[in-house]
Amino acid sequence: MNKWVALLVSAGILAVAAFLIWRKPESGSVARGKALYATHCLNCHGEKGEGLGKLIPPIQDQNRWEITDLVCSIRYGRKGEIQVGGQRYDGIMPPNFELDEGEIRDLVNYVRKEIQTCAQCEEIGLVEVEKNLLNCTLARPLSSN
Amino acid sequence: MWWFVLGTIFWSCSGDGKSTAEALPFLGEMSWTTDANGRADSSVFALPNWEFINQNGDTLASLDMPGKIRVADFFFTTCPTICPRMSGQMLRIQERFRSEPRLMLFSFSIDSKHDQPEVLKAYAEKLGADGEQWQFLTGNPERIFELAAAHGSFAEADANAPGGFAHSGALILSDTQNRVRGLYDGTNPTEVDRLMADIDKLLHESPDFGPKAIQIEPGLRYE
Repeated sequence: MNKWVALLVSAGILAVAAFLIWRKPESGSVARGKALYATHCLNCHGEKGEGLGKLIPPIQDQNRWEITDLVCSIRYGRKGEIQVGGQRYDGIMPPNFELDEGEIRDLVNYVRKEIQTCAQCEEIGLVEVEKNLLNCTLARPLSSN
Repeated sequence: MWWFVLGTIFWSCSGDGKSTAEALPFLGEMSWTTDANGRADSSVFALPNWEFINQNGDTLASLDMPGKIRVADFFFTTCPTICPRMSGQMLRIQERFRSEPRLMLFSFSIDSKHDQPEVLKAYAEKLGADGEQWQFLTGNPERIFELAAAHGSFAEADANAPGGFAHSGALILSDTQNRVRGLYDGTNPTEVDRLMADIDKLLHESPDFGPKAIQIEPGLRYE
């Protein structure tokens, strides 16, 4: 009898684990994104994404920084004037060509979940990164130099 | 007889001047003399004097601002790595001590070709820096690299480094006699908290405390 109970409990645990993995295909993405943020973003955008004066824009507003903005800015950088929170910024953000799509995914997930404190935001996957990268290349809103 | 010791030397109080157990060390090269009675006395090399152009296009010399406690860093405006974080921490220091006339901040650009006065002015204004208390300086790059070394910091042109320059992220604290009293990681807010606490200590320290400062001319020891 005990054998059957143990078997059922094990099956239950496996089912829950499988469900969690299915629900969160990028499990660990946010944690990896935190480390990547510290290396590639924190010096300019600050620990909490607060930016720096009128030099570097904050990235805390989820409505201002949609997924496409984040994905494309990380890969290709930015230059030219932008408005954030009523403030004009005209600096240059360097590109990050060394980051692969998985790392961009992790960064975006960290920024959305922790910097923009969006608890209800779903983590994005690789396909969404690839799709957005294609869009920003076509639209050419950003500089690659 | 003079003799020299390189490295970090901690001053121990000899009985004159105001000293406490928490007094900041004197960093850099020191020398000792012995008088006819065999009594030892010590001196420390002060930072060299300098003259550069500030963000307003004016010539500014260190001798123009005697008796100031100073915080310095070495940066460039197009730096893609640690400089914004250093500038952010310098801004924290200014916000904390904005009403303190005995403190000045100096940011020396290590990319003088690009960082002309108007570029520095725009950078300072966008940063929100008070351009009187916080001066942004540019000039002969070799002199500025030498000055960085004299501060115990480091800066040089390096085509392989991000942005074309390799440099330290140190913020350097010196006292009213231009003696270096501390180096702090300008990318670490906890270190900068300690720097601000140390500024408070210097503000309460007697100007006569510690070893005599030996002033040298710029380039004298670094050419």
